[in-house]
Amino acid sequence: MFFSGGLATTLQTECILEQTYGQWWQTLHRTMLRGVLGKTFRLIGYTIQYGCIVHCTFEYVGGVVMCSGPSMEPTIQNSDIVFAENLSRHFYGIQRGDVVIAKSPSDPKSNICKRVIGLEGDKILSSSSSDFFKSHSYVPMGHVWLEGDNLQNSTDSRYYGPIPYGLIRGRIFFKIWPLSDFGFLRDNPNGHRFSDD
Amino acid sequence: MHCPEQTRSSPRSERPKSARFLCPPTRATSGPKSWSEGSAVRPGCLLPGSVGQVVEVHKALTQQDFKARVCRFYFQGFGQIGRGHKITSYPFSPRKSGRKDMAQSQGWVRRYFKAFCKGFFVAVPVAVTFLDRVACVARVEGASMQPSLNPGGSQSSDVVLLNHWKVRNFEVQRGDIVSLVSPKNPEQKIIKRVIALEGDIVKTMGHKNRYVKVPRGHIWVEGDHHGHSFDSNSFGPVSLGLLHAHATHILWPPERWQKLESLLPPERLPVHREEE
Repeated sequence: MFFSGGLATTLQTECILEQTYGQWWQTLHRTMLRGVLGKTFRLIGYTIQYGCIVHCTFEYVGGVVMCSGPSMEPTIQNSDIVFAENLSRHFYGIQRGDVVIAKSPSDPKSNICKRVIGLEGDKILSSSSSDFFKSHSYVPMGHVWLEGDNLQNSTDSRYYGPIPYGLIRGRIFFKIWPLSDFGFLRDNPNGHRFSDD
Repeated sequence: MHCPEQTRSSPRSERPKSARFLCPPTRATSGPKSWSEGSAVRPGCLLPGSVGQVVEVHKALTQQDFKARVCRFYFQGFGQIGRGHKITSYPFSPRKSGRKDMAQSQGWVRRYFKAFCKGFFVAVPVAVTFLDRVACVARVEGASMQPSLNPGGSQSSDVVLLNHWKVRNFEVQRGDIVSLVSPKNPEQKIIKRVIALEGDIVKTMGHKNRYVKVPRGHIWVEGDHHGHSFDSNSFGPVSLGLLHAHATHILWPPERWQKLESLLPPERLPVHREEE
């Protein structure tokens, strides 16, 4: 008798607690929470929408990039800000002499910024100019040969070989900082690196 | 606010049949005394200063409807004057069967256009980002991955689910089936199995070197159908930057629904593994 009575009271208190809790939740829901939740969802929705627009712009149109490193001097100095466009990559319009941004072949999470010296099928002077015996090599299909403008201080295709075209992310065509150097990029200062093909 | 004096120069047939006027008649005019008659507003004339000054309506309109109609009327009116047309519609013209309010039909087109633009600029970037970053679906062609994919040859090609999210940090395991941009033809994607990661030494089949050490940031991929596959045995190790997606499931044909296991055939294990 004692146990059943105890059980009954326990169940009763539980029911009462649930009821009050339910009522409290309902009131809260009706008054404040709905407004706050609604606003939160709307904010999340807008964030997702604008994030997707930003992603599509950077992926398919272009963006602003800051370059660091000495390997492209004097064309691009350390911590310069440039415009990069991705339309040439998607339409396969990269030419010889373009400065491109590519994924590094040995570290896919970092980018490199070099100039295209040779496209597929070109004959490239792959030995340095100080060697007596010049050696040539051909760029394989689907690859490009990249070199930095600062030949003494640049690890590029002379070190790791030609890189596949699929690693190229975009083409740099305009510098916007520093303002003293505002404008389109200069041509290759090492013109003699081109071999006739 | 003055109304231009009623002129009799325009022939009666030109005047609209039952026009309402938009400004109160001044006492000086000797026009009709009753509102309901109204004086004919000459077509082409826009009464300045009488915006919203409707004296009488014959139909009970809600205030919002009334404001909207007057605004639309003046908007049209200005537009038409700019183009040198006559005003040919009035906000409270009587309803004739089959004759829709020009203001309302134009509003419908504009509303539709606005909704379309809004939907377009929301849906297209979200869809494109999802297909680029999260997952997409692709059909497999060719026999280089038999018997895992396309066992039927040219009769039926499998459709696989490609998961971009798993490779967003370029983390793959030995035995995964992955899709990558072909190093020989950047317009094409190829689907192969990962045999070795960076640092492993692989015993090649048909490569110019017998043993190859996979450099840093590269992987060695091979198709399951040796001899009929254009893979690392032809073009060497591929850079991880070319990785496109990880193929996780076969979606079509329905009798081949399965999760693709990432297992490595034992004879293709690397000769030396680089354990982290």
